Amino acid sequence: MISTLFISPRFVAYPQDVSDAVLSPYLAMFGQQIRHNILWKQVRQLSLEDSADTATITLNEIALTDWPIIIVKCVGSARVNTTAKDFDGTTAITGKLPVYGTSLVPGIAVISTYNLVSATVEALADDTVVEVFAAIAAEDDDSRLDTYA
Amino acid sequence: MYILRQFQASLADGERSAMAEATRFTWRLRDILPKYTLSIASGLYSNGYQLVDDTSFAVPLPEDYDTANRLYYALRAEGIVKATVVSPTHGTSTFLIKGTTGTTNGDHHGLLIGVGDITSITLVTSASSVTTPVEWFFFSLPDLTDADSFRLGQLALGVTSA
Repeated sequence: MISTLFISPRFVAYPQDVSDAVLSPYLAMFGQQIRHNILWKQVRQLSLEDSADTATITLNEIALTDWPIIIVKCVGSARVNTTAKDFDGTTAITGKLPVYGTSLVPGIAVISTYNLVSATVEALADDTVVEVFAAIAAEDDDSRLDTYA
Repeated sequence: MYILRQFQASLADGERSAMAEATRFTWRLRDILPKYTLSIASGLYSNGYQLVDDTSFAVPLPEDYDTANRLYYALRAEGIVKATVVSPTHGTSTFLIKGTTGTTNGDHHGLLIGVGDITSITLVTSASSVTTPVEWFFFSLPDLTDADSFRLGQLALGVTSA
Protein backbone atom coordinates (compact mmCIF):
# COMPACT_ATOMS: atom_id res chain seq x y z
CA MET A 1 0.00 0.00 0.00
CA ILE A 2 1.23 3.46 -0.84
CA SER A 3 1.82 5.73 2.13
CA THR A 4 2.46 9.41 2.58
CA LEU A 5 5.24 10.58 4.87
CA PHE A 6 5.09 14.03 6.42
CA ILE A 7 8.35 15.31 7.94
CA SER A 8 8.21 18.56 9.91
CA PRO A 9 11.46 19.70 11.48
CA ARG A 10 11.26 23.08 13.19
CA PHE A 11 14.09 25.01 14.77
CA VAL A 12 13.59 28.56 16.02
CA ALA A 13 16.19 30.81 17.62
CA TYR A 14 15.17 33.47 20.15
CA PRO A 15 17.49 36.13 21.52
CA GLN A 16 15.96 36.16 24.97
CA ASP A 17 14.80 33.74 27.60
CA VAL A 18 11.35 32.43 26.69
CA SER A 19 10.32 32.58 30.32
CA ASP A 20 10.28 36.37 29.95
CA ALA A 21 6.84 37.90 29.76
CA VAL A 22 7.53 39.59 26.46
CA LEU A 23 8.59 37.37 23.63
CA SER A 24 10.80 39.10 21.13
CA PRO A 25 10.64 38.19 17.47
CA TYR A 26 12.67 35.18 16.55
CA LEU A 27 16.11 35.62 15.03
CA ALA A 28 16.11 32.66 12.71
CA MET A 29 13.88 29.74 11.85
CA PHE A 30 14.08 26.51 9.93
CA GLY A 31 10.51 25.32 9.52
CA GLN A 32 9.58 22.73 6.98
CA GLN A 33 6.65 20.52 6.04
CA ILE A 34 8.03 17.98 3.62
CA ARG A 35 5.91 15.28 2.07
CA HIS A 36 7.05 12.07 0.40
CA ASN A 37 5.28 9.31 -1.50
CA ILE A 38 6.29 6.08 0.20
CA LEU A 39 6.39 2.74 -1.61
CA TRP A 40 7.64 0.62 1.26
CA LYS A 41 8.54 1.19 4.89
CA GLN A 42 9.79 -0.52 8.01
CA VAL A 43 10.03 0.54 11.65
CA ARG A 44 12.31 -1.15 14.13
CA GLN A 45 13.05 -0.45 17.78
CA LEU A 46 16.52 -1.53 18.78
CA SER A 47 18.08 -1.84 22.18
CA LEU A 48 21.82 -1.82 21.67
CA GLU A 49 23.25 -2.95 24.99
CA ASP A 50 26.92 -2.53 24.32
CA SER A 51 28.92 0.13 22.57
CA ALA A 52 29.82 -0.99 19.03
CA ASP A 53 26.73 -3.20 18.75
CA THR A 54 25.27 -2.84 15.27
CA ALA A 55 22.03 -3.50 13.48
CA THR A 56 21.58 -3.56 9.74
CA ILE A 57 18.89 -1.47 8.08
CA THR A 58 17.25 -3.63 5.45
CA LEU A 59 14.52 -2.90 2.98
CA ASN A 60 13.56 -6.25 1.56
CA GLU A 61 11.10 -5.24 -1.11
CA ILE A 62 12.95 -2.48 -2.90
CA ALA A 63 16.65 -1.86 -3.38
CA LEU A 64 18.37 0.64 -1.15
CA THR A 65 19.81 2.22 -4.27
CA ASP A 66 16.36 3.61 -5.00
CA TRP A 67 15.36 6.58 -2.78
CA PRO A 68 15.67 5.58 0.85
CA ILE A 69 14.64 7.87 3.66
CA ILE A 70 15.98 6.96 7.08
CA ILE A 71 14.85 8.60 10.31
CA VAL A 72 16.59 7.62 13.54
CA LYS A 73 15.52 8.56 17.06
CA CYS A 74 18.09 7.84 19.74
CA VAL A 75 18.34 7.91 23.51
CA GLY A 76 22.04 7.43 24.10
CA SER A 77 24.73 7.63 21.43
CA ALA A 78 24.62 6.00 18.04
CA ARG A 79 25.74 6.41 14.48
CA VAL A 80 24.26 5.54 11.10
CA ASN A 81 27.02 4.16 8.88
CA THR A 82 26.34 4.24 5.16
CA THR A 83 28.04 2.96 2.05
CA ALA A 84 26.83 4.27 -1.27
CA LYS A 85 27.83 5.17 -4.79
CA ASP A 86 28.70 8.66 -5.91
CA PHE A 87 26.94 10.61 -8.68
CA ASP A 88 28.58 8.41 -11.30
CA GLY A 89 27.00 5.30 -9.81
CA THR A 90 30.41 3.66 -9.57
CA THR A 91 32.68 5.43 -7.09
CA ALA A 92 32.20 4.17 -3.56
CA ILE A 93 31.46 6.71 -0.83
CA THR A 94 30.96 6.21 2.89
CA GLY A 95 29.24 8.25 5.55
CA LYS A 96 28.90 8.36 9.31
CA LEU A 97 25.89 10.21 10.73
CA PRO A 98 26.09 10.45 14.54
CA VAL A 99 23.09 11.05 16.72
CA TYR A 100 23.07 11.80 20.45
CA GLY A 101 20.14 12.28 22.80
CA THR A 102 18.60 11.95 26.22
CA SER A 103 15.11 10.88 27.18
CA LEU A 104 14.15 14.56 27.49
CA VAL A 105 15.70 15.57 24.18
CA PRO A 106 16.13 12.48 22.02
CA GLY A 107 18.62 12.68 19.22
CA ILE A 108 17.10 12.70 15.77
CA ALA A 109 18.94 12.08 12.52
CA VAL A 110 17.38 12.18 9.07
CA ILE A 111 18.77 11.36 5.66
CA SER A 112 17.02 11.37 2.30
CA THR A 113 19.42 9.82 -0.18
CA TYR A 114 19.93 7.50 -3.15
CA ASN A 115 22.54 5.09 -4.52
CA LEU A 116 22.70 3.64 -1.03
CA VAL A 117 24.40 0.25 -0.88
CA SER A 118 24.11 -0.50 2.83
CA ALA A 119 23.22 1.20 6.10
CA THR A 120 23.80 0.09 9.67
CA VAL A 121 23.11 1.59 13.06
CA GLU A 122 26.05 1.37 15.46
CA ALA A 123 25.89 2.14 19.17
CA LEU A 124 28.54 4.54 20.43
CA ALA A 125 27.67 3.98 24.09
CA ASP A 126 26.20 1.22 26.24
CA ASP A 127 22.43 0.97 26.74
CA THR A 128 21.50 2.95 23.67
CA VAL A 129 17.91 2.69 22.48
CA VAL A 130 17.23 3.50 18.87
CA GLU A 131 14.09 3.63 16.77
CA VAL A 132 14.75 3.35 13.06
CA PHE A 133 12.23 4.28 10.38
CA ALA A 134 13.38 3.26 6.91
CA ALA A 135 11.35 3.78 3.77
CA ILE A 136 11.60 4.06 0.00
CA ALA A 137 10.19 7.23 -1.57
CA ALA A 138 9.06 7.84 -5.13
CA GLU A 139 8.70 10.80 -7.45
CA ASP A 140 5.21 11.84 -8.43
CA ASP A 141 5.60 10.31 -11.91
CA ASP A 142 6.85 6.95 -10.65
CA SER A 143 4.63 4.25 -12.19
CA ARG A 144 5.00 2.12 -9.07
CA LEU A 145 2.65 4.50 -7.30
CA ASP A 146 -0.05 2.82 -9.39
CA THR A 147 1.18 -0.76 -9.21
CA TYR A 148 1.83 -0.67 -5.46
CA ALA A 149 -1.45 1.01 -4.58
CA MET B 1 20.41 32.40 22.61
CA TYR B 2 17.57 29.95 22.97
CA ILE B 3 16.63 27.25 20.52
CA LEU B 4 13.18 25.75 20.24
CA ARG B 5 13.61 22.36 18.62
CA GLN B 6 10.60 20.41 17.45
CA PHE B 7 10.47 17.48 15.10
CA GLN B 8 7.50 15.54 13.86
CA ALA B 9 7.17 12.79 11.29
CA SER B 10 3.93 11.00 10.46
CA LEU B 11 3.16 8.18 8.07
CA ALA B 12 -0.37 8.08 6.67
CA ASP B 13 -1.87 5.26 4.67
CA GLY B 14 -2.75 6.18 1.13
CA GLU B 15 -1.69 8.83 -1.30
CA ARG B 16 -2.10 12.46 -0.46
CA SER B 17 -3.98 12.95 -3.72
CA ALA B 18 -6.65 10.70 -2.29
CA MET B 19 -6.90 12.35 1.08
CA ALA B 20 -9.95 10.36 2.10
CA GLU B 21 -7.67 7.36 2.44
CA ALA B 22 -5.03 9.20 4.46
CA THR B 23 -6.91 9.02 7.71
CA ARG B 24 -4.94 6.31 9.43
CA PHE B 25 -1.50 7.15 10.69
CA THR B 26 0.44 3.96 11.14
CA TRP B 27 3.60 5.57 12.53
CA ARG B 28 4.43 8.82 14.26
CA LEU B 29 7.59 10.29 15.68
CA ARG B 30 6.92 13.34 17.79
CA ASP B 31 9.63 15.24 19.59
CA ILE B 32 7.66 18.25 20.64
CA LEU B 33 8.97 20.27 23.55
CA PRO B 34 6.35 22.96 24.03
CA LYS B 35 7.69 23.79 27.46
CA TYR B 36 11.41 23.82 26.93
CA THR B 37 13.95 25.55 24.80
CA LEU B 38 17.62 24.75 24.67
CA SER B 39 19.92 27.40 26.04
CA ILE B 40 23.03 27.84 23.96
CA ALA B 41 25.81 30.26 24.82
CA SER B 42 26.47 31.13 21.22
CA GLY B 43 27.09 29.41 17.95
CA LEU B 44 24.10 29.77 15.66
CA TYR B 45 23.97 30.14 11.92
CA SER B 46 21.07 29.91 9.55
CA ASN B 47 20.96 30.83 5.89
CA GLY B 48 20.36 29.64 2.37
CA TYR B 49 22.29 29.48 -0.88
CA GLN B 50 21.75 28.61 -4.50
CA LEU B 51 24.24 26.02 -5.67
CA VAL B 52 25.12 26.61 -9.29
CA ASP B 53 26.70 24.20 -11.75
CA ASP B 54 29.07 21.82 -10.02
CA THR B 55 30.94 24.43 -8.02
CA SER B 56 31.63 23.38 -4.44
CA PHE B 57 30.32 25.55 -1.66
CA ALA B 58 31.74 25.45 1.87
CA VAL B 59 28.86 26.16 4.22
CA PRO B 60 29.94 28.72 6.83
CA LEU B 61 29.82 27.37 10.34
CA PRO B 62 28.86 29.56 13.32
CA GLU B 63 31.67 32.03 13.86
CA ASP B 64 32.42 31.09 17.45
CA TYR B 65 31.88 27.36 17.09
CA ASP B 66 34.78 25.02 17.80
CA THR B 67 35.01 21.25 17.56
CA ALA B 68 35.17 20.85 21.34
CA ASN B 69 31.38 21.10 21.10
CA ARG B 70 28.87 19.27 18.97
CA LEU B 71 27.11 21.04 16.16
CA TYR B 72 23.48 20.23 15.40
CA TYR B 73 23.01 20.62 11.66
CA ALA B 74 19.94 20.56 9.46
CA LEU B 75 20.29 20.81 5.69
CA ARG B 76 17.47 20.98 3.17
CA ALA B 77 18.00 20.58 -0.55
CA GLU B 78 15.56 21.07 -3.41
CA GLY B 79 17.47 18.73 -5.67
CA ILE B 80 20.33 16.27 -5.55
CA VAL B 81 23.31 17.53 -3.58
CA LYS B 82 26.49 15.88 -2.36
CA ALA B 83 27.41 16.82 1.20
CA THR B 84 30.92 16.19 2.49
CA VAL B 85 31.04 16.42 6.27
CA VAL B 86 34.44 16.45 7.98
CA SER B 87 34.68 15.60 11.67
CA PRO B 88 37.72 15.10 13.92
CA THR B 89 35.98 12.16 15.56
CA HIS B 90 34.13 10.49 12.70
CA GLY B 91 36.40 11.37 9.78
CA THR B 92 35.18 12.45 6.37
CA SER B 93 31.67 11.42 5.41
CA THR B 94 30.01 11.80 2.05
CA PHE B 95 26.26 11.77 1.65
CA LEU B 96 24.07 12.25 -1.39
CA ILE B 97 21.01 14.22 -0.37
CA LYS B 98 18.10 13.56 -2.69
CA GLY B 99 15.21 15.94 -3.13
CA THR B 100 12.98 16.79 -6.05
CA THR B 101 11.13 19.86 -7.15
CA GLY B 102 8.77 20.75 -9.96
CA THR B 103 5.49 19.61 -11.38
CA THR B 104 6.74 16.35 -12.91
CA ASN B 105 8.61 14.81 -10.00
CA GLY B 106 6.85 16.82 -7.31
CA ASP B 107 8.17 18.96 -4.48
CA HIS B 108 9.81 16.46 -2.14
CA HIS B 109 12.80 18.18 -0.62
CA GLY B 110 15.73 16.24 0.77
CA LEU B 111 16.98 16.49 4.34
CA LEU B 112 20.21 15.72 6.13
CA ILE B 113 19.96 16.22 9.89
CA GLY B 114 22.62 15.13 12.32
CA VAL B 115 24.91 16.06 15.19
CA GLY B 116 28.63 15.92 15.61
CA ASP B 117 31.87 17.74 16.07
CA ILE B 118 32.20 19.33 12.66
CA THR B 119 35.21 20.84 10.94
CA SER B 120 33.53 21.60 7.64
CA ILE B 121 30.51 20.87 5.47
CA THR B 122 30.84 21.24 1.70
CA LEU B 123 27.98 21.02 -0.80
CA VAL B 124 28.04 20.48 -4.56
CA THR B 125 25.50 19.59 -7.24
CA SER B 126 25.85 16.70 -9.63
CA ALA B 127 26.75 18.48 -12.83
CA SER B 128 27.10 21.75 -14.61
CA SER B 129 23.96 23.65 -15.53
CA VAL B 130 22.29 22.33 -12.39
CA THR B 131 20.92 24.93 -9.98
CA THR B 132 19.80 23.77 -6.58
CA PRO B 133 18.70 25.90 -3.61
CA VAL B 134 19.83 24.69 -0.21
CA GLU B 135 19.02 25.88 3.29
CA TRP B 136 20.71 25.16 6.62
CA PHE B 137 20.30 25.71 10.34
CA PHE B 138 23.25 25.08 12.62
CA PHE B 139 23.53 25.49 16.35
CA SER B 140 26.00 24.40 18.97
CA LEU B 141 24.34 21.62 20.91
CA PRO B 142 24.51 22.23 24.68
CA ASP B 143 25.22 19.56 27.26
CA LEU B 144 21.87 17.76 27.34
CA THR B 145 22.66 16.22 30.72
CA ASP B 146 22.97 19.68 32.27
CA ALA B 147 19.68 20.99 33.65
CA ASP B 148 20.83 24.55 32.93
CA SER B 149 20.68 23.76 29.23
CA PHE B 150 16.91 23.82 29.38
CA ARG B 151 14.72 26.85 29.85
CA LEU B 152 11.11 26.55 30.85
CA GLY B 153 9.01 28.38 28.31
CA GLN B 154 6.16 29.77 30.33
CA LEU B 155 5.02 31.85 27.43
CA ALA B 156 4.68 28.75 25.33
CA LEU B 157 2.15 27.53 27.85
CA GLY B 158 0.23 30.79 27.72
CA VAL B 159 1.38 31.96 31.16
CA THR B 160 2.44 35.58 30.91
CA SER B 161 2.91 36.57 34.52
CA ALA B 162 6.40 36.32 35.96
